[in-house]
Amino acid sequence: MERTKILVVDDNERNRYLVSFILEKNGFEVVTANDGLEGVETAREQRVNLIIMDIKMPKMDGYEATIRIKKLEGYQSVPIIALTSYAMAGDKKKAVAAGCDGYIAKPINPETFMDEIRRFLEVIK
Amino acid sequence: MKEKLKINSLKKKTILFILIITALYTLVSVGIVYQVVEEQMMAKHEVCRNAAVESLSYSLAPMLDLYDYKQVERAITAPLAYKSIISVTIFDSTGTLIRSAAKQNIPKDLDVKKYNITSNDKVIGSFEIGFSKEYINEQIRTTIEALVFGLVGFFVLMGLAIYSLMSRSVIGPLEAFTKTVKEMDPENLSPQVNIRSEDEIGTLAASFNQIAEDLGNSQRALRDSEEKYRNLIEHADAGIVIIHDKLITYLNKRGAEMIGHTVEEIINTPFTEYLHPDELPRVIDRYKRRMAGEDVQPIYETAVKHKNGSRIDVEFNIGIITYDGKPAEFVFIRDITECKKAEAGLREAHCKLQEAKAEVDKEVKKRTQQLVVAKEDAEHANRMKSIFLASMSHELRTPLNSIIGFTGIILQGLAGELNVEQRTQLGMVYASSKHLLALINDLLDISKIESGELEPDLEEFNLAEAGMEVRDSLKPKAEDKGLKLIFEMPNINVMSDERRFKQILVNLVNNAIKFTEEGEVEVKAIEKDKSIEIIVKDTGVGIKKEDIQKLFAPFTQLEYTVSEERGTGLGLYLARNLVRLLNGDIRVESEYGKGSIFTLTLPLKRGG
Repeated sequence: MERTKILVVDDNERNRYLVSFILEKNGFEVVTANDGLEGVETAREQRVNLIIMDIKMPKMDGYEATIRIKKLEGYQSVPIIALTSYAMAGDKKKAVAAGCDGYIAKPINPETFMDEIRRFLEVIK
Repeated sequence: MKEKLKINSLKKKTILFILIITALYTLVSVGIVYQVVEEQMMAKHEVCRNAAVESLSYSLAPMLDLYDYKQVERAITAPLAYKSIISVTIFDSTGTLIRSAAKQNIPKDLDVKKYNITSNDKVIGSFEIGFSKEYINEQIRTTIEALVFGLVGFFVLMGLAIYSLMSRSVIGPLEAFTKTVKEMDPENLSPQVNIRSEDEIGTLAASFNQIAEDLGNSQRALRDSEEKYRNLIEHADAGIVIIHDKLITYLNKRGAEMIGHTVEEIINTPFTEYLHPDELPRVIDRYKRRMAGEDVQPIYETAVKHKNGSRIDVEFNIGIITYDGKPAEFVFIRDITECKKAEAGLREAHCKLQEAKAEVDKEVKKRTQQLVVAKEDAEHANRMKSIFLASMSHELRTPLNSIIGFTGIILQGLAGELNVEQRTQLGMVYASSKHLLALINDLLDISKIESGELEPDLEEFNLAEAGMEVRDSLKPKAEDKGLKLIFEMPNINVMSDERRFKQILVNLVNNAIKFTEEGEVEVKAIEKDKSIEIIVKDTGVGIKKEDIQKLFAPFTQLEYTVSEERGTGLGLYLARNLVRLLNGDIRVESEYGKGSIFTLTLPLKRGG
């Protein structure tokens, strides 16, 4: 059975590494992108099962990237989870409006992070 | 003289009337009587004459025949007894005078007639008889005289009788009336005619008295009124002048004083003498136009000339009255010197005020501009602050997220097993990182609240579920300290900001756990009529009374809080600000040493 592929879009290298590390340790295949534009390209090139999208990024932010990815063929039902800052009021709503299926507040809690990811994957199955 | 000749009194009229009647009647009577008497006398005269002629003719013939001249003498003397026969003369047949007889006085109207004396149809002589009618005339005169005397006497008597009668009943009372009336004081009429008869005169007198009384009354009233107005005018504060035919015919005292003259000096002098030369043409023009019947502005300002030559500003208020049948000006003169001064003062003050106002306006404009600039600056600074805080929080949290994340996964053992010391020390890093993050988050929230940027994100959520989440997040902590954590939340949907609500509740419960060493922390929500009350009750150290006031101030940490984990010092301050943001309130009751009760009240907007 093919492994579940998750796209992590984040401009912060350490954060990308942290999220990728947790996901890989939990047995997922991870691809990463450095910004929104790259994220859209990656999603177009490779089929992924879930996308974790940071919001504040150079070149193209998470909202724009989400809108574009949701327009790609076959991505309507692929969950996109926004990584939102705790103090940014309205981030969550904006994320939902852009087409995100859920959000995880930063900083990520390693103890609960995987539970949340699995919950989203459950939904699409 | 003229007066005397006039027949204007009733008395004179009466006398004249009587005289005329007497004269007329006498004249007519005399006429008639004259005619009758004359006729009679003439007849009588004729008879006498005929008798004398016949008698002479008859008696003389024989005497002449006989030449008895003695007889003749006697015969011719006899007719002289008749008053109308003046003379008798006898002639013989040759015409020679024989004898003559005559009265002593020969009247002028002697009428001599010649008669022949015949005997046996033969003329034997003649005689002449001189007649005179004077006697007749005298007779008539005498008769008429008597008649006239009688008539005049009668009429005079009658006239006197009528006159005395009239005197008593008409003329006397009328004269008394007239006298009384003449003697009456025309200035003070009163009923004074004392005639008490019931005839027309009496009625007239009564009527007259009534009229006199009424007239007297109205005269007095008029006088009173006139006096009143005179006083008013005399003592008026305005100068009052009547100008008639360019002359000042009346002037009150004030008017004279105004220009330094006396009233006497001014009366009957031309008004133009007292006008200020500058105003002369204008005032005269207006006067002429007004006198010509033009409608000229009655009130205007002008100036008069004081005796000492100075100018006095006045206001004329002119009315037209009829004086001696001609139009005259009735002028009120008001001294407006003070007014003018006040006006000038006022104008000056107004000017100064305008200047001051302009100055103030300028200043206000300047300051307003400064304020606008300052406001824009402040707004700009505030925006900059928000932008700064937003990026700052992001920048601060990004590394913190890494620290917390990596510490978390290492502690989780994802990167390999740790020994006990490593685990303990890394746990400290993890806790400190989280503390730092909480501080940053609290600071950010506070700055947002203070700048008014934080707005509640209202949505419907389930109270019990939100409570569970809070309980789940804090349960490990309570269990670590061996505390019982009790949550009792009703299963209802409410409308509020879920994230902020949870933030507040976490804050309060976290505090309760922190300051409680043993016992329990109880969280209970009670649904009220229009609000919901959430009570967080602990069995901790409690708070001293004097400290309750400063409990909600920022960076206040009570000395007696024995805790290994110190708070940010912003928790309660932030909690109260957030509660207020949600239109709620927070209050605390505490007994030192026994525990505290925090009561959170939030408006209940029940979801469907």
